[in-house]
Amino acid sequence: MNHAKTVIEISNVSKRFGSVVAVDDNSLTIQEGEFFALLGPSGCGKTTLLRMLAGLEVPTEGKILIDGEDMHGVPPNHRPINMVFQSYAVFPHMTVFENVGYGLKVTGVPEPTLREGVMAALDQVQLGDYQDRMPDQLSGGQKQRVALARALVKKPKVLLLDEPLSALDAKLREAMQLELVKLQNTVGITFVIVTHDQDEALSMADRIAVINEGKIEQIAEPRTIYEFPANRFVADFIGKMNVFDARVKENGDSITIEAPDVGSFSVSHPEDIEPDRINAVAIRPEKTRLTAKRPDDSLFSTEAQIVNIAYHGKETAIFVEIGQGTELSCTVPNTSRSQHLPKTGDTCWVSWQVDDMLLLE
Amino acid sequence: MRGLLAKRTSAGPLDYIHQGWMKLTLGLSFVFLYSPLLILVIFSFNDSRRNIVWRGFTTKYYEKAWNNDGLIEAFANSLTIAFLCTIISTILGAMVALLLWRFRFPLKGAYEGAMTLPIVIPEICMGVAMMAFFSRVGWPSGLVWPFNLSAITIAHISFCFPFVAVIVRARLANFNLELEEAAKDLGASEWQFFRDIMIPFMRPGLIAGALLAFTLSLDDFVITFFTSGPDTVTLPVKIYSMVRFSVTPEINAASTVLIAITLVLTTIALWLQSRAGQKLGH
Repeated sequence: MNHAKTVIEISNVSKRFGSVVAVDDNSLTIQEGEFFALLGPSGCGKTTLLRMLAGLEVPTEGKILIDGEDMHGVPPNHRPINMVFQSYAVFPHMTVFENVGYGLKVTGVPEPTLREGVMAALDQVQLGDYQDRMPDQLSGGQKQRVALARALVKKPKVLLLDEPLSALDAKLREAMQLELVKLQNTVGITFVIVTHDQDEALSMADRIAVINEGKIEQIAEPRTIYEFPANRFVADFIGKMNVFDARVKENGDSITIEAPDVGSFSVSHPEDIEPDRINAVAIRPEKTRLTAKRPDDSLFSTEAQIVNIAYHGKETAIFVEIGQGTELSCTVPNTSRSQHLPKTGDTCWVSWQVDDMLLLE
Repeated sequence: MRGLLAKRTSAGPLDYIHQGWMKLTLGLSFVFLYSPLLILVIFSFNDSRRNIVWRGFTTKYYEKAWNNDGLIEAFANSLTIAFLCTIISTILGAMVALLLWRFRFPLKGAYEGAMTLPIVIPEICMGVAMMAFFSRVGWPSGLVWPFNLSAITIAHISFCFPFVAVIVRARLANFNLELEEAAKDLGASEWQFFRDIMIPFMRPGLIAGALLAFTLSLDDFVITFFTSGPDTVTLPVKIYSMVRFSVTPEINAASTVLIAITLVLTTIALWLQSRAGQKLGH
């Protein structure tokens, strides 16, 4: 990645509504041309952060620089930023063309330039034939494209998207995810998207900031977020995770970790975490294996009894019990039609590579 | 097709409209409400001085009403008052609606209540209060037209604008605040947003409110009666004074014209409101 230029710089920004802290002292930089996702559960402050970028909320503390300029006191209509709203906010009394052209009209762009810009933007979102439609003749997906075109036509430095896909059905949502990424590659504008859907963030974004209770927990590329979550919240929030309490038994180059419910593991010294602070280990369900016989010693393995099976089509979630009442979830991909699936009550061996385990504080 | 038709004609348990007793009640209600009006309209074409027995069709009383200078002057006064009252009430009402929708301020509830008071207060009280007020402040009378109508116009505005405010306020309750943010985000100033987004959104409410104000003002009698001077007679007041001598078909003719105007404007107002409702329903 050769993103050279910083386009958004957020430093120590907080936002309080009365006594409620919505955004708590966050700093963040976003590079030009990046597809950046703000991901978190609902009410975590991600939308407030986005609205502060747009100028629709004023930070209580801290500074926001956009393209090197301090945005303090700059109203939304003077920021080089445009937004796609969650409700799309398509003007109901204007045609598609008038909607998309509105942002150019109010700034006094002459008619021929306006027409050219609007038609180019409509083509970009594949609505070229819809220019004379009224919004109530459009589907939800089409309204969203109008909202996108309306923002893109302004050629903003940054495009903000507030939960843009949440109102679409699953099939359309997946198609739009790909389309948004393609669109972003074509126009080269920095996209900042707010979402509570981790699939959306993982599949689309170049980098993700995971936010919880107003604080950024981790900023990293999707793969890092998934495979190397920084803490227990991120590990638990992104994907599925089996987390077990654990404590460090021995210090040194290689440390031994004891998880009372599972067993003990010898792992190499982690780079970014103090051994003393480790209090949990975790393993993703899809990184476990279920076998009838005991696997060889290169893997950690333990005997288990199957307590529940949930068939999901492309995969099967199998819940097993290890030791005294400790439950573990395993995901088995259904790679073949003739695949043999175990039954509830069967005993088997569950195993995984010790390196796939996460050490959490 | 046959099955579909059969289905449509067979009454469901909640299709009260298809049951005989309901039709009868409905029919009787309509007769009760509209037969006086219908008779009034029919007898405006009656070729008789005394308005009791039908003596054949004529339009001469419309002609006579048209040539009655007092009646025409009263009608012109009514239209002028209604026109001025409509414009000012609509602007005032829209501003009140916007204020109540947009801002929070101390005693807002009390203000809202006081604002809607003219809707519920008995007209006779309003009329007496207006008369007392204008005589107390020594409001000038006998000015040149149209300033001689100022007292009546002010009285009309005071009971018309709350209706406009209530209608526009109801419309604003459905406004999606993200539309404002989107407009500002796209570069619109406060004024551009108001002109391009807000006014078009309020328009059905504004038109419905204006038409309502117009009809309310046009056929108001009680309040007008208390605020009008000898030289400022409106159509309803004039008709009343004519009735005191004798009920001629001329009065029927003038009343029919008033009914027609009211009916047309109310229909337009209702149609606009229902159309706006349908649009929101999508």
